[in-house]
Parts: sequence; structure tokens; C-alpha cells
Amino acid sequence: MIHPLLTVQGMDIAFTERVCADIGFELHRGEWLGLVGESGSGKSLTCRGLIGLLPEGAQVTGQMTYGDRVFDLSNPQAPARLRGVEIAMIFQDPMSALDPLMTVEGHLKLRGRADGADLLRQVGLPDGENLLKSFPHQLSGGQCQRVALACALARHPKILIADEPTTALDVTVQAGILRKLRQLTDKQGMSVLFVTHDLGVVSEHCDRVMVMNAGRIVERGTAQDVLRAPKAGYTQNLLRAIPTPATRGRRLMSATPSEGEMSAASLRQPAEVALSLKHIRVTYQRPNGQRVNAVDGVSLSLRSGEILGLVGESGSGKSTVAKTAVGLVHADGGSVELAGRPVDWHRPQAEWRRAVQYIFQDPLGAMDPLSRILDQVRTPLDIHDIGQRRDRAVMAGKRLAEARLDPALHRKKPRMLSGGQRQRATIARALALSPKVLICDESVSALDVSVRAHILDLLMDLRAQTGVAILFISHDLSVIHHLCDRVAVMRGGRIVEEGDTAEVFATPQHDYTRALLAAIPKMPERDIGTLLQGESA
Amino acid sequence: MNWILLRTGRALLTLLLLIGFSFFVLSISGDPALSHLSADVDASAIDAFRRKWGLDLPLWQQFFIYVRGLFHGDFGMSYATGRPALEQIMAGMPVTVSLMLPTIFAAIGLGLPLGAFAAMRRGSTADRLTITLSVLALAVPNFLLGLMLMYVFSVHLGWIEPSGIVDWRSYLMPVATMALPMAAIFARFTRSAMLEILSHPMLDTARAGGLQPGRIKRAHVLPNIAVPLVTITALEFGHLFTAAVVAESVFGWPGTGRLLIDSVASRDFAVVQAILLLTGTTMILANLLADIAYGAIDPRVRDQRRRRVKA
Repeated sequence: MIHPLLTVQGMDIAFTERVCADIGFELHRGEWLGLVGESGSGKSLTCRGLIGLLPEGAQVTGQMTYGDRVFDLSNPQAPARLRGVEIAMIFQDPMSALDPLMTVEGHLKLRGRADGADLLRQVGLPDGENLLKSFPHQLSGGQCQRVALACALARHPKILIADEPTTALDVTVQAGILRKLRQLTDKQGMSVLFVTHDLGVVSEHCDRVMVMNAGRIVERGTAQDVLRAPKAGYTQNLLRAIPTPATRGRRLMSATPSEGEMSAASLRQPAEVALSLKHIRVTYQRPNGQRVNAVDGVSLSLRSGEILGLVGESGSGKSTVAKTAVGLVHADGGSVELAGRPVDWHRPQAEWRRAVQYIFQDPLGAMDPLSRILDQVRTPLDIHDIGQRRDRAVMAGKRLAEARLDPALHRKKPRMLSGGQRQRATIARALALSPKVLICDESVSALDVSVRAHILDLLMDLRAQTGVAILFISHDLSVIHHLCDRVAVMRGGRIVEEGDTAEVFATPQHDYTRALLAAIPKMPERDIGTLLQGESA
Repeated sequence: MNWILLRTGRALLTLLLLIGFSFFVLSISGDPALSHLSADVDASAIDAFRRKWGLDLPLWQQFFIYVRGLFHGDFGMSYATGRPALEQIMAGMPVTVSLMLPTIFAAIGLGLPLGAFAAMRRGSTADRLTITLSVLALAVPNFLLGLMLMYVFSVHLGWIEPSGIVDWRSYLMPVATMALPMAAIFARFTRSAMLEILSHPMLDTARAGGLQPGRIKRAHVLPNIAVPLVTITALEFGHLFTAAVVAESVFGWPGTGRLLIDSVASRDFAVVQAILLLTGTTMILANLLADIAYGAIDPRVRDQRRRRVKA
């Protein structure tokens, strides 16, 4: 039996309470080991503990063997000697990983590499010479992450710890970086500890995988085994929460089709158009005076009870289009029509404001931090003077109940809630005025998969119960496929393809759509039998 | 380069506004003839005084004459002494500058390391002590601090002459009076700037890359705290003269600061106006230098300016 390159035994991490318990694993030469878990599961802390990068106040115990050297993890200085030379690490946010005041060359030279251009070429930046003199703010997110990768590889480490390195990037960029990383590690026999919440990425790239929950490793095995036939209840639930082609149009978290789904099916008949955007054009002036078309003649129509997906990568203009529908961005051309009537920008817009509601990506940023949840849901009722003053608190409570927020939380402030609970609250607030149209702008993108599954179920039920039309903006194609009736693909301010979701995904017409679809990390077909067995056991 | 021209032009405009504003405000603040002549002189003497100093002309003509004079280096004459205002100010300048320079060096030399030290030991007793002391130094008014020093070291201990310039030790108390509150500001600013950088993810990248702590501080931390420090240094330049005014009055130093107090009291417009111009110009220059320094330090600022100039 070959000796593993890295062995971790009995690692515990505690602050005031224990956050990671009895972590132990082996990492072999040239292997990609996936570490999967939701936020707060302790996966990042585990990684940081390995190279002594934990925040102050962390108490660590445990032992790590690297090659034939043994390290006591309770002393953060001990594994620190391996940093960069033997074990390197890259992080999630590429834009803040680099020093804004230092050139790319400066970063590489600091790590003893004078041959920066060569190194950049290795990580897939062919224009290395020119990039060397660039500063981080002049690069894209993908380029920054490749530079950070070059920094990590500068001293030829044997192990790379990658903590959600592509989560903040577009799918096509992610696919390119991961492919490159795989090539590099295969060539140099490097091992990778790959932290992610994306099981698709694990399935495509990792040899083995560990699943973490609440500070413990709950399951481990080869990636294909774990994803096909998960044994631990937690892993099974995690997998169930992920939208796949098989889950399209069905609730994720309950096995039996709900009442909602039944009536959703009956709603699929042609309904009246709730919102239509006609030839929307938005231009903005770059700081250098050049005028750019952020949105270039986009038309969309949304029927009552319909969920329309709007998909595209960052900078494609999808949010800008949606914001014209609520007047957050003023269209330079085209018109917004509500139930067939054009919105007049120069008239009082109370009716229109009531009818179209917007839900943002970051619920904390969208709420007043000092005001109680119930009051925030009540505010729109006060503004639009709906119902009797004394009834409004009850009405707000009802909306929160519809969004399935625990009544015990109604009187709390946003900071006391979890991310998923906050997003429920903003959904309740958007529903307060019984809107005809709900615009969800990346509203589930920042949520953990199981939380996301609940919110997706909620949106599906709401559509069925209230017949609200939903414009669902996302960069995540699998979520779009799961939820939306129709989909429009945006690129560079234009819609390049639009149609029935199933058709677009089955037979994409535009090259860009094909590229996007090809870049989604694929999950293996699940063994449904094992899943059900696990459930009954 | 274009950008510097643009910025210099704006600095000159600011200066012109300062000249105009101070001139008109001083003009409406009181009649110098009445404050320089005793109350019982007759009307003809007052008229003669006004004619002599051109105060009988319309205000705009007075302003025009004044500005024309400025271009020839003529800042007007002092009503009190009849000598050129500039000459009087320059006589006090060496004294004032000899207080200001040690003060700014002492303030930075004391505040910066203290703030950096506190930030690196965040939450420790040393950190809390630094914060408490800096609040105290800021809360005590300059003049009170000066009087307290004088009481302890001159009256009680008798170590240092209480006022005037006798030997090098005479500098200790006025410079301490001026520098302590300023050092407190530098310490607080450095501390918060440093804390922000120390928690920046780029330092994780650097640490994970195996860079040594000293190397990380030199390469990443110091350049990044330079930007906020340049800002605060430029701002503190303005406070420097204010502090000198107080210190010179408390310790009886014959500098420009005390001259300002005396001239304001006696409505000696030309002198007051000249001092305002001088300190204003210093402030404007300090800010101009700070703006140039931002560009030298931060490439993002450079790019932004390049784009703006093109537009």
C-alpha cells in the first residue's frame, strides 16, 4: 500500500464551542479530494486549520502527517512552515485575493518567481507579458483567480487547497479554470483538497469526496459512489435538494406532489399577459465618455401564473432589464406595459408599484437592520394605505406565514435570522401588496442548496396558489431548468435565444446557449432505489 | 500630467475664493479707524485716517487695489505699525515654523507606531490603553494642556522656564502641547486603517503563500495604510497653525500665531488677511500634494483620473 501524502487525525477546532470534531482523512498523491458541506459546516475552518490560518482564538487539537513529518496541529506555527512550499491555498473571492496596489508581476516576484509570464501561461493566461504590468482592478474575476492560482503554484507545492475557488465566477469561466487546474495537477502529480458546495463540480472533477455537516465528516467515499448511492441521511437530503432534469416542475423537499403542483398544471393554459417589456434599451456612459448599450432592444412578456427564466453571465444586462420593469433603472428607449397598458413615467405610479415587486439577491442588504420583520412587511401596507390600520399587523403576519416563516421570528430583527429565513421575509414583504408580478433577481444564488430548495418550492407553491407571474433571474441553469416554464438567454445586452425551457435545454439553437449548457457540471444519474431505501430505513 | 494641471487650476481658483471671502468678511466686521484712533478724536482725523488707508474708496475698488498689490508681493500695510504686513509676518515665521516642524514629526513619530502597535495587538491591554489615552488627549483643550504642563514642570518642579525661548528645553512644552492631540489622531487613524488591512483577504493569500510576517507587512500592509495616512496628514496641516496660535499665546512666544491674535483684536486687516492667505495657501498646497500622492500610491486612482481627463 502506498503511503498517503497527507494524513490528518482527530482534528478538533473550537472557539467558545466546538465547531469541528474528529476530522480525519488521507490525501494521496495526484488525487482530488472533494470536501462538501453547507455554510457553517466547518469545511473552510478545516482547511485553514491544516496550514495554521485559523482566526484568533481558535483552539485546535489533532495531528497531521505530511510525508514523514508529523505536526501537532495545536501549534499553528508548526504547519505554517509548509505554507506555499508544500501546501498552498486559494480562496473564494478572486477580486480581494490580490493586493490592489501591486502589479501581477509584483505578486509573483514576492514569491520568488522572475519568470512570471511563463507561470501565467501555465495557468491559462496566454497574454502573460502584458498582464504582468497590470494591476488587479484591471483584470476580470476569472483572470484574478488565475493569477491567484499562479501565486499559489509559484513555489511548486505538492498540495493545493482550493476553498470554493470558482463559486464567484460565471459557469463558462469556472469550467475553463477547473479544466486547466486538472491538467496542471495531472502533469505535476499535485493533490487537491477541493472545497465546494457544488456537487456537480465534485462529480466532474473529484476522485473521492467527504461530506461535512455541523463540524463532522458524515460520509466519505469515491465521488461516484457517494453521489449515486449516498448512505448518510444528510447526504441524501443534500442530493434531494439539488435540482436535476428529473425534478423539473416538481417540489424538491416533499416526495408527493402537492396541491400546488396540481393547480399549477391547470394554470398552464394561456393566461393574459401580466407584464411586457417592449424593445427596452438602456445605455450608460462609461467614465471615458463612451456610450455603451447595456440593454439593446430587449422584449419580454410574462403571463399570469408563468415563471420566465432570464439567464446570462455577469454583465449580460439581465438585472438591468428587470430593473426597468420597476423603474429602478430608467429605460432610454422602449416601453413597459402592465396588463396591456404602458407605464407612464410622468404619472403617479402607485398601482404599478403595487403590481410589480422585486426581490434582491442579498436579503440582509434589502432590509432595514433596525426594524422588526413584521413591521417591514407591514410598511408597504401603510404606504399604499391598504385595509384598516389595526388589521395591517395581522395581514403582514399572514404573508409571513405564507412565506413559511416561523411566527416566533416575526418580531425579530433581520440580523437574528438565517439567510434563508431572511429571504422568506423579503418574499413576504414583496407579497404584502398581492402583486401580479414578482421579479426574483438571483434571489436564491447566495443560499445553501437545502435552503435554496425550500425557497424554490415556496416560489412554485406561490405561483400555483396566487397565479403570480415570476421573472426569475439566475446564472444557474439547473435552477432555471427546474423552475421555469420558459427561458430567455441574454448575452451582451441582447436576448440570443428564447423559448420553452424543455425545448431550449434539449435543442439549444444558439452557440452561446450550447456553450452555457456544456459548462454546467454534470451530476451522475441517481440511483433512485437507494435513495428511497435510505428514506425508509 | 494633464490631471495635475487641472488640479492646480482648481487650487488657484480656491485660493482666489479665499482671498475674496476673507477680504469682504473682514471689511464688514468693523471699522479700523474707530479701533485705531481713540474715541475722542474729531471727525476730520477719522476722515484723514480713512483717506490715508484708502478706506474711503468703494469696496470693489479697495479689493481691486488689494489684489493688484498681491501680484507685486504687496500684502498691504499694518495699521498698527505702518510697516508692510508681510514683513511683520515673516519676522514671526521662523519662530512658528520652528514649532510646527517638530510638532508634525513628533505627532507622526509617536502616533503612527502606537496605532500600528495597538492594531496588531487588538483587544489587548496595550490596545485599550492606547485608545483611552488618545481619547483623553483629544478631549483636553490645547490651552488647558499647555497650562497644565506649565504648572507641573515650571511652577511645581521648576525644571523649565515657563515662557519665552531660553534654550532647547523651552521647545519641550509648546511642542508637547501641540503634538499630543495630533499624535492621538494619528494613532486612532493608523489603528483603524491597519485593522482594516489586517482583516483583508489578500493577507490570507499572502500567508497561505508562505510569505513571512515581516515581508507581508512591508509589501502589503504598509503601502495600503499609506493612502488613509496621506489624507489625515494633509488635514492635520491645517490644525498645525491653529495649534501654534494657542501654544504661542500660552507660552508667550513671539510668533505669527500670536501676531494673528493681536491683529484680530486690533482689526489690523492687512496682517490678518495676509496670515489667512498664507495658512490657506499652505492648506491648499498640502491637499494638492496629498492628491498627487494618492495617484503615486494607488493605481486605481491613476486609472480613474486618466479616464476622467479623457472625458
